[in-house]
Amino acid sequence: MSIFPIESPRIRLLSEEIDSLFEHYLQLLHQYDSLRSSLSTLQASIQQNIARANFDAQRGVRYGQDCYDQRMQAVRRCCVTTGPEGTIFSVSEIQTLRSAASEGLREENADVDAREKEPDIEGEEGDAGKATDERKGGTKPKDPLRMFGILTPQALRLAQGEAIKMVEEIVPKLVQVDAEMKEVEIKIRRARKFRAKAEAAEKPAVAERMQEGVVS
Amino acid sequence: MAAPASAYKDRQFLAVIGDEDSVTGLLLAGIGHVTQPPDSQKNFLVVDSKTDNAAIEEAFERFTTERKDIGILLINQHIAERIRHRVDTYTAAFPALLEIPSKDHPYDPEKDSVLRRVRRLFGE
Repeated sequence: MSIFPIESPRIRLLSEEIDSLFEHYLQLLHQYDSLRSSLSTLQASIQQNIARANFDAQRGVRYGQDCYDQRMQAVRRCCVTTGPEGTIFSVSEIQTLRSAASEGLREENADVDAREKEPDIEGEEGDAGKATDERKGGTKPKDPLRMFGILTPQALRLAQGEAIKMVEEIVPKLVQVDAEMKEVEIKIRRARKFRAKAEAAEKPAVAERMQEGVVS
Repeated sequence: MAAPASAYKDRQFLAVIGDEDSVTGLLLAGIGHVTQPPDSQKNFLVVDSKTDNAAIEEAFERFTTERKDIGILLINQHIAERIRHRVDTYTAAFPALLEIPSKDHPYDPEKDSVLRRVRRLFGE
């Protein structure tokens, strides 16, 4: 609330802007909070399943860093893009990314074929190229579960499913909400600064008006 | 203001600094990556009671500053607490930093850097 009894329209506008920014910020905070609790629940379940797998394992076997593959390759990768709505984080399986890319390429090739409408040797070559792309896109990445052996316990498989859910669904959303919150924080601070400046500029005029009121 | 595309276009990996079970869980999801030799750089660090703070700080520095292929860095909250001065002064947009709970240390909102920022904004 302003300390001045009479607010100028500019200060009122700025106050309204700050209020709407705070409203948006609180919505983001609520989103962050619910995502946080989902993350905690999932993480607890993952830990529980890993502990169960270790408990059920043969003597001396522990599903931990001794089993890590020293040449592992990421199967799930993140993708960062920015747009008018801010920064977007997403995590998906590399195969999905590849097949999406090859699908895009296939569509592109189909468009070119449709435009040419000439079933000649070049077209056949194009088909061969497409087949190679499909083969490339179809190479199945190694399942990370394999580094813990061929016959892995059910609990470890459950932990994997939950970890995938966490990495693909919760983590990117949380990171995105955090980034958006940071942006809104900057906007709020800026608006507050502008309002403080406007209030400082208004101060002598308001004091004068108040004095006039007292005299009259 | 949007960051230039060069700041994020190659950031395709998730990195993790955590205890053994947290790292195992995330590696099960398939985020683990070891670069080609002779570098053979890992995108994860397993922290135990013997790991000193300097090693954690070095890994944090490597994932946030040196490597340009990390998009998201996950760190256990209790480990972040050990290098709190570094975590709280980290302001870069990429890689994004996220504190996650661990087996022995459940999520504590009091230590969450995001909620601390919220409290600061509301003037507490």
